Amino acid sequence: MSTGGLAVAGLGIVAPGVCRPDDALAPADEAVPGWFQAGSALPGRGYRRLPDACKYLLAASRLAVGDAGDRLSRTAREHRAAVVAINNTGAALMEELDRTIMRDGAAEMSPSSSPYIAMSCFASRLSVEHGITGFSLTVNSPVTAGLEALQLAARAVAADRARTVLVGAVEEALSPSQATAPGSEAGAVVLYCESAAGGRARYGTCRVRSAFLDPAAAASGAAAVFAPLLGDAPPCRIDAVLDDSAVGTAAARWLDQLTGEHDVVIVPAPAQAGCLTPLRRVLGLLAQERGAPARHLVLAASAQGTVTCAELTLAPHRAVGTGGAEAPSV
Amino acid sequence: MKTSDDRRVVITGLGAVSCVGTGVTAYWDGLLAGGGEPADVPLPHLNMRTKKMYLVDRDEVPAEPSRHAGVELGSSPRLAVAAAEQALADAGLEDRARPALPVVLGVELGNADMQETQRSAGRTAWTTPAPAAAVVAARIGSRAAVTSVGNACSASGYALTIASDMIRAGEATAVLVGGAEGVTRAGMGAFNRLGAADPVRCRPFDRNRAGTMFGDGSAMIVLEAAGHARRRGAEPYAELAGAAWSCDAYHQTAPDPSGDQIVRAMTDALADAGLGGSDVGCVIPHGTGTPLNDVVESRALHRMFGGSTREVPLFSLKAMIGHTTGAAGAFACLTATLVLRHRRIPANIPIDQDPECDVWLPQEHPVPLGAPAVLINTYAFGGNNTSLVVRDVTRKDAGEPR
Repeated sequence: MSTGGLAVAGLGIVAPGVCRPDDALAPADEAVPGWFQAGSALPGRGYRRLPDACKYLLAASRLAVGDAGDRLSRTAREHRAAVVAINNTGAALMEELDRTIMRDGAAEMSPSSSPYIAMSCFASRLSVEHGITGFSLTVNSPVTAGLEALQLAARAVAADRARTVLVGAVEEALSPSQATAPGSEAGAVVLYCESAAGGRARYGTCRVRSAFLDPAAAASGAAAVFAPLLGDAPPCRIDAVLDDSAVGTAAARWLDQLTGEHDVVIVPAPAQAGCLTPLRRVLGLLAQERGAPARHLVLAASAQGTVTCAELTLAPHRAVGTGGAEAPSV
Repeated sequence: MKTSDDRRVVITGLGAVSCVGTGVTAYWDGLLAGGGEPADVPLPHLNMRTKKMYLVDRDEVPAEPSRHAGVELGSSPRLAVAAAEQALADAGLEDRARPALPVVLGVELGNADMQETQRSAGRTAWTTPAPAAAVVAARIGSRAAVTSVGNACSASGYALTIASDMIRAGEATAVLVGGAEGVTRAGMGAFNRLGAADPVRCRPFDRNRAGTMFGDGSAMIVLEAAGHARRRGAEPYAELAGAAWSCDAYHQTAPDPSGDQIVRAMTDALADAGLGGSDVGCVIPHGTGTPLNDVVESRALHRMFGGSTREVPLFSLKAMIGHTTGAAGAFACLTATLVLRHRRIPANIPIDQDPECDVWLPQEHPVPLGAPAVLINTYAFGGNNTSLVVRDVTRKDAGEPR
């Protein structure tokens, strides 16, 4: 159930209201028009026609790579990789393209947007940007994909498929007709990761485990899933990104029994939330200034039944931007 | 204690629903008979030039499960469940093994047909596009890790590698892995718009090819640690002996004309398997029918096999079942396994071969498999490449016959 660990050497985030990685634990702001300034985040040519999600991801990756210093440039291209999580990214664009087909025919589709019917296209621009030829992997499990991306990266590093992995999650706001309530996510998070054995754990290390809880039997099946998933000695601090689905409710009730010995924080997830919040939580915890090591667990569960938890060992460090490369705001 | 046998990954269960029928026997017989024929796609508002796919007989698309966690399900998750149940029954895994069985699925356009049908009917609320892996997990009673890979046309090639790595790392003794795709208006529209949809049929390596043509269906495979399979008396079909990934880092949709990264993936996969080019008795290429892909892949095969390239038979699978996109790698792995099992390669569909694609596509009749391994390639938008090596199993791998 568990995979090898990762060391985190760089952090990057672009999200409404977030200027630095250590802001990431604050509640997510609404994505109001103009929140992201592509011109300043991505100076240069070749970005204008990209979908917004591509721009978020590229901007966050630049911050993470910059924050890690010269480590990427010292890594051979075939040892560089990316694992990117998406859920709602492309949803609005897909609707727009499909409506064009319905109304005007496929010949009227935008040729520059049409490739993005393939969800891996959002990550592929990352590989061109950073000369990544090891591999580029896109994962899409509801809600938990961001944490799963860490797990997949760790497994791939352990299998010698890469030495450096940009692990990211990106989301784009749903269209007004797609959203059933406010609160769909927008922005991107990228963690610059290496093997925990030998990598630079500037911010800490993480180890991820996954499981599945059948939504139709969530209440009765919770103990059999969560007890082995969290293990015998889970960290004292647990952040759980949960919605009000049967799975989320079962998870919250199971975590309730840990109260007293553990400090459990429930991070509410709206019904159509994507996969950004759990990885954003990981990034925010890693980014906090601290004087001593600490352990922390981030758990996420989807209404569909996927459950993933990231166990973090947080390294002592000064605030982001004072101990390494500056993390500029966008 | 783990042994080297627990790091070797064998194939012990197979399941398939495709345009040539339901079940693995129907699949193999269908390939020997020349594959399926394109048919009109049953979606409304299909306003485009090329409207055909290689379709599963609509009577064979299961009606259930129709919902999961409140999400209405299209054909992809239902096909996945049907193929998964076949694969598990074929593997003979006991019910008590199911809770520990991870599920890894390659799914690209996922639940698109349901969303598109709803959109045509004026219902627009967004639901998760990739529920299939969770649906399969719920249906088989898994409590283990569930992974959904969205790497477009190489998604299940990646999924197979992930599943193999899970077993090699000792995370699982068996994994249910595969791919599933339904029909998709947006996907077909995009390929029409990009000039990559052949209006006639899927005809890779043909001088008149004009793009690809999609197919729907699901292929599912049980991968297992060789030692685990032997201890429970399962008879493996074959070994997934090697796998490798690479990325072109070149262009959003076009392959890198140099072919450097796809050559690297093939080379690394064979090295991972401990085999050389002379051990390859068949190649199942990515071979989509898009003009540049087939030329670049043909040239890459020449770099791999040198002067022997014309002696290595290719089996052009997509010409028979269409391009099953996210499920293509799983269908290729299923096919490789059956080629090894039957020791012969079905005859390819006759084509007017493009001289720029100087590879051997036996078309007259099936040819015997002349070496112990089958090499598989899967590629995707963004230059996401995988190569896999499936090889025969030796007598010592076999347990008691089932």
